[in-house]
Amino acid sequence: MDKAGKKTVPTATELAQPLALQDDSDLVPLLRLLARAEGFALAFVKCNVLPQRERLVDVLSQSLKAQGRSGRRLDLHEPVVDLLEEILRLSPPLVSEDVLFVLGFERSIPAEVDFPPALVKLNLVRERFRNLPCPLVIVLPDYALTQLARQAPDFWAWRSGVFEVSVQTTELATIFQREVSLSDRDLQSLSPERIRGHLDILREVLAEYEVREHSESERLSLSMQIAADLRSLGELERAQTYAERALDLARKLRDLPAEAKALDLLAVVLTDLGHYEEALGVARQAVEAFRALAREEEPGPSEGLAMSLSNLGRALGSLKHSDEALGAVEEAVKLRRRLVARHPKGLPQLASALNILGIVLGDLGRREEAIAAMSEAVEVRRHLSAENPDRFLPDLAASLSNLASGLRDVGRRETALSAAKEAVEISRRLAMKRSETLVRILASSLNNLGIILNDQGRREEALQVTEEAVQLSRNLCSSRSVSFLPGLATSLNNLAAMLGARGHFEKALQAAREAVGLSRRLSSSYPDVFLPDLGSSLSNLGEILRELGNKEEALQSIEEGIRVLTPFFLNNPAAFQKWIDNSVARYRNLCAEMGIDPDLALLHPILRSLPSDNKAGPEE
Amino acid sequence: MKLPAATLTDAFNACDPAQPLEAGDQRYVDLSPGRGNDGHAVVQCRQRIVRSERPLVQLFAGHRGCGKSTELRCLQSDLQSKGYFVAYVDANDDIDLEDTEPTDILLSLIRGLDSALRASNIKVRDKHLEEFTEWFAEVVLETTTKTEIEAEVRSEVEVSGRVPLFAKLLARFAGWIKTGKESKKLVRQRLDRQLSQLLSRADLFVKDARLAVQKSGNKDLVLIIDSLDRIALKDLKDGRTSHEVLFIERGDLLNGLGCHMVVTVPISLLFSPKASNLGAIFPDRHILPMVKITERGKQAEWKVGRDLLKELLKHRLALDTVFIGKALDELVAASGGHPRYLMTLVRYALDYVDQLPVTASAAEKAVQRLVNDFDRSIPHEHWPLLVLVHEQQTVQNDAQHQLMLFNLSVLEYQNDERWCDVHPAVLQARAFKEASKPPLLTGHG
Repeated sequence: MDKAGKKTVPTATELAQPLALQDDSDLVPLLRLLARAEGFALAFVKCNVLPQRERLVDVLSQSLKAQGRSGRRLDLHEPVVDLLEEILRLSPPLVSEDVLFVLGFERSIPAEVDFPPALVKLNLVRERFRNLPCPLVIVLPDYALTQLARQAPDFWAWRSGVFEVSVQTTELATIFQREVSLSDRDLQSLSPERIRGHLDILREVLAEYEVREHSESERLSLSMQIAADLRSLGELERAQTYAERALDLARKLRDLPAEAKALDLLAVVLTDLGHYEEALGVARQAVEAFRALAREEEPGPSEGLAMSLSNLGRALGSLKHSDEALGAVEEAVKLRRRLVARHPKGLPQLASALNILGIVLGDLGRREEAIAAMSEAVEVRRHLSAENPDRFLPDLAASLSNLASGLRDVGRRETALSAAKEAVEISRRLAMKRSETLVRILASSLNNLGIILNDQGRREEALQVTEEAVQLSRNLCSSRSVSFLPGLATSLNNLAAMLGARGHFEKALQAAREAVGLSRRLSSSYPDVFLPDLGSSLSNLGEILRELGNKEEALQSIEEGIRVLTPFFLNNPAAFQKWIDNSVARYRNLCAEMGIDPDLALLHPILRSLPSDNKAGPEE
Repeated sequence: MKLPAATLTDAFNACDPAQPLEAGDQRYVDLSPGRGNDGHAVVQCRQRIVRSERPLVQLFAGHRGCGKSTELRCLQSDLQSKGYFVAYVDANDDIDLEDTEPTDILLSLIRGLDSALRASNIKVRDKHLEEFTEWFAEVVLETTTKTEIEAEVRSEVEVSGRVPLFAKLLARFAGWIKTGKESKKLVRQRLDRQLSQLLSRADLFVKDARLAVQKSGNKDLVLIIDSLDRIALKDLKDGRTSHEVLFIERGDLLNGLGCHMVVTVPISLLFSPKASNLGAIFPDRHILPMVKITERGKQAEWKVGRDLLKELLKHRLALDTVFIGKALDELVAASGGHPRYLMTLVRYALDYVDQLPVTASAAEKAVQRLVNDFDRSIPHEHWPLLVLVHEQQTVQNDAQHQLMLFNLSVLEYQNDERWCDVHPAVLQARAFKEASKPPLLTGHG
């Protein structure tokens, strides 16, 4: 204090000394502000990288100490709504000699939310901030500061200073190198919290590169990694945005390998999102790009081409373009086998390709071949997960569940049951980690187990696991992604059938109506993919309505089901035989009960395509 | 803090952008000569109240931070000295500015009036107040199933009689509006169903209040409601904004209370496509423009305005000690004639010196910092529109332009006619310069 009782205002050199700062650093003006402010003053510091934010507050506090002020910290580890309330909770309470640094407020300002509650609140209670006895310094990354400026304009208007701290290029490069190399499998083994933390760092580093010239290549890698992180969290729309951004950058840089990878990632995300047609177009471009690259590279199998072919196969399979899918996946498996022969590190990818191959073969009705592919996938994954359970057990569970479904289709019930049980057991253990991917695998495994138990007459157990599958799928859907709806629709359909078989017709009706509604909605966007499910659900609904005595509506429902299923059956009799047999039998029974003649025009195309010994005509 | 400030610390603390002045503050400077023809908005407002035989509702608009609250506090003190009873209501106390309904504003007014009357010991006729209280208790309390609230309020009645119950109910209502989402929805639904009842009872209450203040020796009753300009501007994506719905479509709610009222509204509202409808509901409107610092359409300085802003600082700072060379001129020019920005700029400039005076170089750095702030806060899609506003010196009547006025990237001035321009700091932003470049032309062979 000087003789007038005022604080002595330090010079720039004095202020900068403990920080070893250059005079032109933005921190010197900030320190001047803090040294001069009496009572409340509001300052913002833009600093994009978390470790640097931490360090910044430490060195500023050190410098303030030399001026007789005490730097206090408020670390917000969770999102908050009322920042002021958090400040007032500090113990001991703030006094005029303090300077309060707020860290972590960006957690309350999600980039994708307009007017988040924390900013709304800031604007509303700004008058009460004036009662704080000391200066307040809010340290934020760039995006959050911009959002605050735009969405809490009244609070922002009270600022006495906005200061920017940039990161040194070498430090940024080190962080960049460390953070951009996580593979999908690395991500799968991390908890959602860890991935979110990783995402925060990536976004901060990206923001820092965005203001630097000639940083397209770093921004490209970061956008790819962010998209992959977001995908693993199930935040698919945002993953799509970053994948598209990566694609633009790759094209701008004329970086063909990066363009091919970005296309492939975008195709995967679009498939996850259920945007199958769009995904297919992009997946085809990815395959073409990798083929072009493979031609230029040294002879030998191309990793990228194998990957993009698998993903193309997945997109085609999702659209039930099974013949074309088979071509792509077979080529992928062939390439993968050659890659593994060179080096066993490609085993996980071989297993993925085999898994997709199994599904596609199953769709084509080539069931034994499907089982062979799935069994091989299970074996490879079992081997991998013995070595690294965290990384590979989720894949093993998924493969086991698919295998169980395939075994059930060929009537090998006991082996099917044991595979399904193992899938459920593994995925239940993993789902404790609560990532959406793992919950999805559990839901799907439970669904398959339910069917197999039901086949074996263990109806009570079947009902129980199917109810759990429905509940899990419902939770997944409420987290918004449409890509979880098909799973919910399937489980509801199964649940309805099981409840009906147990005589719980009212409950069954409810589930069946919901399943029909969902399938109708899905099939309006992707008829080739979801119409068979709609047909099956309609048939189940009809059966339950019949039991409840509502025969007119039952008839309509079953007739519609048959109409929907017929073209699929005619196109691929092996795959849809059971479904159509079931529906036709129900139809005949109902007509008999109602004393009406079956509609020959409806049944004619089906009967014509059946082997002659199966052609029982309509009951007279 | 010693005024005018002659040390760095005093200078910093004398220029607080977060501190509007109270009436009678020695730092107050009448900026109206610099604001153009309508600059004497407060005087006009007062004159109309004094001259009009019937109660008037006058709208008072201006950019945020342009000095509205300071001027309204002067109006309050001015009218009080002329024998008027003035209730000053800060809407921010009662209203959720992010989600406001007309009934919230109405009840906030009633609450402000009720509390001002009680503070001055003026009693309103019991009969209507009792009826209003009973009706309101029924509406508000029935909306919640929590009987403890009722018990809490009723126990107060037994102790203090009916009038505090009214106050307590209004306070409870304000609490719900400010906090709970669910309770707010319920109370509003119920009030909306009984809107005409609410209006007629509010009307009776205000009439009684007016009689009571006149009876106690005042000339008349005036309600000033501040901070309504801070209500969030939301584009409702159906061609309307939240402000238009509140002040135009349901503006009649504010217009029939039967006493003089001065209501702050966002300046952007006067540029809405429905501004003519607003004029039909509220014919008496005043705008507090920026202090003009440049002649319209020219880069020529307007000395009167700049001198006034220097005068404003002179009441806070020892100018000769604090600034040297062109520093002060730089800051005044970059403020756009906006008092709060001027304070912000002075603080920014002080951050760049270790000792007084503030040099031209420090002032330049301060201006650059404000330019960066605008660069940050202006949405990408506004930049090409801002170029057009600067060329044409006028704004379109649409949501985007309303947002620019609301966010202060565009300011309104007056001299003979009303005109707008982009904030001078925005003109220096890199994005503005980029957007000003002529588009590339494709050649034809």
